[in-house]
Amino acid sequence: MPSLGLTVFGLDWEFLKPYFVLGLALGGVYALSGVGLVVLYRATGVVNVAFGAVGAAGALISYYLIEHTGTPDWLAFAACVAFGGVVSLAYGVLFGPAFAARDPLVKMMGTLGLALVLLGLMAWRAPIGGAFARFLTLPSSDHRFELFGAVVNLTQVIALAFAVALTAGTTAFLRFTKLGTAMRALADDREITATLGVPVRRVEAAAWLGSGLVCGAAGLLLADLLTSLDYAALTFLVISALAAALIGSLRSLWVTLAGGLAIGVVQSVLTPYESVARYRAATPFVLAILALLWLGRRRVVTITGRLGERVGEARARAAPDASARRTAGVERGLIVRSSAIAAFLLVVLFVLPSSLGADWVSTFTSVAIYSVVAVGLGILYGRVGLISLGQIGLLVIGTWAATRLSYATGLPFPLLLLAAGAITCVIGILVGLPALRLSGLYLALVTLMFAGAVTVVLRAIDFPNGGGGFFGRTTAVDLSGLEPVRRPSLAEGDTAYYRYVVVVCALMFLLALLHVAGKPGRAWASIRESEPAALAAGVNVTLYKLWAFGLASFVTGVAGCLLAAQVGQPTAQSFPTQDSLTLLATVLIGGIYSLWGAVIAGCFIQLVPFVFQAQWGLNTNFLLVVFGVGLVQVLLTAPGGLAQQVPKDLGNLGRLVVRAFGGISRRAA
Amino acid sequence: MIEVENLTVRFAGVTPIDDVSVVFASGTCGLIGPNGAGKTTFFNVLSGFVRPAAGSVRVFGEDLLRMADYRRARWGLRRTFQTEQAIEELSVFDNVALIHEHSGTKRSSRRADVLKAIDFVGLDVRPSAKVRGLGARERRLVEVARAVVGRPRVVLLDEPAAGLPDEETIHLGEVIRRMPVEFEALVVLVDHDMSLVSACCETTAVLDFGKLIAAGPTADVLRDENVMRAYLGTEEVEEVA
Repeated sequence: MPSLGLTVFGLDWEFLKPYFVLGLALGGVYALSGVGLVVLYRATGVVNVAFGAVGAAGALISYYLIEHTGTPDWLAFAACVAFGGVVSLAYGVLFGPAFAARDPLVKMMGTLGLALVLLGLMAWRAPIGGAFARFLTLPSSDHRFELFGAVVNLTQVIALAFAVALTAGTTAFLRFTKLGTAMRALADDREITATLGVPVRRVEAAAWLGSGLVCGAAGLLLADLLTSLDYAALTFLVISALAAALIGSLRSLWVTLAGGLAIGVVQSVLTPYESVARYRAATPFVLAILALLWLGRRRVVTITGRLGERVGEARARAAPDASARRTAGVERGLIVRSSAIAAFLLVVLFVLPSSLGADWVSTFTSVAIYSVVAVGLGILYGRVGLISLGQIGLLVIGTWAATRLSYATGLPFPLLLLAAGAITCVIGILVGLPALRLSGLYLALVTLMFAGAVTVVLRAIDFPNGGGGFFGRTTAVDLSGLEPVRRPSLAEGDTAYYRYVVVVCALMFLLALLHVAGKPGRAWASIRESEPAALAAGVNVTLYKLWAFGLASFVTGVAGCLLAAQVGQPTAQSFPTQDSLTLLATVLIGGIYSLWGAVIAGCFIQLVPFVFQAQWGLNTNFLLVVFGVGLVQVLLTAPGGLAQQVPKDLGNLGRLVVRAFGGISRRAA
Repeated sequence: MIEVENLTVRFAGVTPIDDVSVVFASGTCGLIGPNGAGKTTFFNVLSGFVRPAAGSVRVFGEDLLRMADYRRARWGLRRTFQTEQAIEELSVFDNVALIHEHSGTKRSSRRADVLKAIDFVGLDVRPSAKVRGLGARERRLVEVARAVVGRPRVVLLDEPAAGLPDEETIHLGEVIRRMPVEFEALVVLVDHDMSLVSACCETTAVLDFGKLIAAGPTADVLRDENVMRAYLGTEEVEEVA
């Protein structure tokens, strides 16, 4: 074929064409999942982040049926699709109605619980280790042929054709069938649709079933198209699919299809460009963030809107409380609280390290560090109502900055802490900028895209690599000879460093407390209650939102620096992508509105797994299941988390006991 | 003094405010009209939530529309909302202090000013009580206290008496009447309770379907034929008369 002479950024089009074709095949898969997500969102208002996890679990079941029970292939494949449908339908029927009246953000976090449960079950029952890999191959993959210079197999063609057919079919279904019309009405207004006589629950169930079947099919195709059946990769592929859905603004099926294909093509075509090829996996995230910025270009103030939900919104509004008129008890409460905190700090600083072994001390160091990360998330969601799924990404940036600065400069440790905090703060504010224009759900998705992009970049730059200077890289395979990130000179040993970390973390808590109790805290509370009312009160909403992002990122960056010096040589493996999800779940379970909740979250992330694994020799992956269930439980019944629920329950228990004993003693008298 | 000239607001296909020119001179002024007349939209224009298609608004000689929305509070614009917007998780004191600390007034007088505002509206709960535990009447008073703290120059009250029992409305009326005297502020009151409006306002303007149909001394306006036809209905006219 004669060359057209067309060049794209220095490369001949003829040369790029095979990449383009392969990109379409890859994009077909993104598009397929994206369309499945949009259909569910349009009918139920739920952004299903468990989409990837359900597909992955289905593919895994399919694999086991084929390899271990000798089930015929076609039956195993059907089982995968059916599993997707059944699990999604079950979740939708069980929890859909309970979440129906809630904020879209809360609905999304509910599916995060489902994703954690499935991810935990898969990691617990079918762990991947070492060189072991599973393969699930569809029969269509054996049919290969050449297309425009690229070798493609039939599965890739099926994926693309399925995506197009699904888009066309769903569009027609929504427009021309009774059920489709009902779904569109439902997306517009659930209550009005119900009063019009549409069986709302049945229609929603149908949407869950349909999107679940798509999800199973997508899982099957993806398990084949990826190099191996890796459930973690499949689970987090939902982020790329979400990127396609976001390009279609979670509404348009055809734009989602085009977005998915565009992502695939760009990602594939970048391969031969050496300077950017390493980062091409970040394509979905970059395109999605650009799409979101484009969507949010016009700033909208909703007159009655409220960010997040009120503390007690899930419960009925409390009756006027008699304690409002009581005057005593305030001073006493303050004294009780400060002495509790002082006693807690004394125990943590002096009793714990002297009575426990070295591995315990190191675990408690991590607990302290992660509780500071939890505080950052608590400020954003608990105070301002902004959710960030990218806090682990920021933690990594803090760790990276501290590591590089430690190698490149001779700065004393406290300055290292401040510098890591400042760098992370700047990046956090940059990530937060879209927050000014986007509503809560979209912001959460932007930060998820950010977390995805950070993961890709980390892998590309071989995080953090111990070469000299700021950008130095070492080619040594064995990193153990390298000097670790330095610790403060007065706290070289593990126990001394532990105390140092506790003190720094206590300072971060104090910083957060001062903000929350002061002018910024009041401004945040007013923003969370109602943005227009905050503006009318003279609160510079833009400034205070950015301030929250800055503060949360600063403490996270400081935590990252502490972490770098604790492990000595941080690696990308210390920060699995799922940690961002686990963090959110544990912070909500611990209690998003309280600083104690952050401490509880730190314990859940670091201490509990340590106890189960190192002390009792258990596989800790089942904890993800617990966190997933706990997340849904907290979202539905106890928005204040353990930090609020436990004192309340203890109080109730106390009153019950007093009443019971009172009854007994009265009878005795 | 608020001077509104040829103000027009358009949303897609509707004109909630249609070429309105009106002056709110001093003291407490009423703004009434049936539902959908454009009263709240007018307040939203003053707050900066709605950008008008045409017209100008000058307050005490300054061009209000050119001020950024959050700066208007610092200048001295205060408002309450139809649905009460007191912040549940903060104490009564902090709710009021929030306005004070963004008003540009001196920090040293904050405590005294906030307590004075709470006292002024006649709120009899302790200032450290959380708003979450308060009833509807108290929340409303917290919001009114928020509107008078930190040197207000213009106070916009959007149906402050909605849902309150009669004796509370009478108390609120007294508070509203004392506002211009105590704080030297111009008060604009939107309400459907005609006895409250007649008790508080020397002058009143009437909107109907986005147009100004009457303005002047309250008693005259309420007897105006156009107003009666548009808004009051015959029974209420007898009552007012």
